[in-house]
Amino acid sequence: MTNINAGIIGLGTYLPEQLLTNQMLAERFAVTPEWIFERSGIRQRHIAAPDQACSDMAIAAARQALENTGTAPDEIGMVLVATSTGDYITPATAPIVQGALDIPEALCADLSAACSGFVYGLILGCNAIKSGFCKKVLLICSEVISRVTNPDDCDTAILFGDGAAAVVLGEVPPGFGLLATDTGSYGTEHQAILIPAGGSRNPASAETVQARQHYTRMDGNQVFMFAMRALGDSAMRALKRGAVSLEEISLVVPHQANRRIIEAAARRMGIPMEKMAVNLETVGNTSSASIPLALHDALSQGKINHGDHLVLTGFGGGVSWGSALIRWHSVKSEIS
Amino acid sequence: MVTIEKIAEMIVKVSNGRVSKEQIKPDAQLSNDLKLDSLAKSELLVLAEDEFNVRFSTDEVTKIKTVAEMLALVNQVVSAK
Repeated sequence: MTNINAGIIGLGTYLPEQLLTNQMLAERFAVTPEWIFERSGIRQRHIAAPDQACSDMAIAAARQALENTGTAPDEIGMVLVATSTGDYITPATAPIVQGALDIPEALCADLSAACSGFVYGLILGCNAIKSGFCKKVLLICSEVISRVTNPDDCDTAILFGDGAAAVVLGEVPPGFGLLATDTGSYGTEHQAILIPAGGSRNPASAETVQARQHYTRMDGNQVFMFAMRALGDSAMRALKRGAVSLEEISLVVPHQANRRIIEAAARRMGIPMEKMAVNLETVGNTSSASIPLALHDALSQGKINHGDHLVLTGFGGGVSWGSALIRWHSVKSEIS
Repeated sequence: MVTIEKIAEMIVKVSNGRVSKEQIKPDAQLSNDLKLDSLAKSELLVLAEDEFNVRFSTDEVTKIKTVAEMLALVNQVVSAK
């Protein structure tokens, strides 16, 4: 490793125009819009148009991130796309993005870590810069979760929305950027969040389609209990490793799974909700894209300033978790 | 031995103050009387895990119906440690 410090130097986002509101879902499931809101903290989700795929949204968010940071395509040495809903099983979505953005030479790969994808990509990308492998990394989280959400399953249909966010990672001054991390998985619980068919375990067939096995299945109580334990505990471990106290944290940016999980994690950490970044009311759970979308919203609202300590913390399928303690280095136009 | 007062404290916490200690009787139904949904019951179990250093199965979320059943479950798991 070199003495290079690496971190986020700018962001871009993309949300599809079409909205799926609680009113629309309430009619489908014979509940009230308020019941959905109380259970999830969500009022609306964005849904990709039928002709939009993961790479389309990824490219739009990435273009914005490159523009906001004044980064030329030839400065990017690595393109990581964190997604569970890539364009194809093969090839990866990252080279499709690279081709569209005219990035001449880069390691391009997808990262399949569900809702932990952003934090994992941040860790991998920053370490690629710290090791001297490349100068800048384009990390994009893009999810078309609506394509793998059963429209008749109330437990999941009320939660998930589509969206994309991209960050450019680069060198930052000493004491800024990625300071400490905490990651882990409980693979024995991998069935808690699962798309049963379409992979090599259970290839696509007429039967799997008929049995609706290409949609996300989630054991809500298991995920909720795991998430409550993982979210707060992982964030606290990252803080400890970075020798930063909870009082020094300006904002926790958690995965936007469900407001109730975020509230429970805040109680567990002993931190007021004012210090938790929450934007799922307007976008829902966008899986890997949720943390950078919430980060973007917090920046837009002036909640993050130069020198602030933040904890970004995610959890999800695997089941997996990851937290990153960062110190924010403001650049002139990190968002548009 | 875990007391009903300790369980009541945790119920007040997960209800975000909507439920008062006075409402929490042994035969009170967690769902119907105290209006705790499955997410709140999940949080209650995780709080109890932390408090008593034990681990509950996810299935317990749907099994426990009353305050007395929650108390009995906690005491059973704690005494089996």
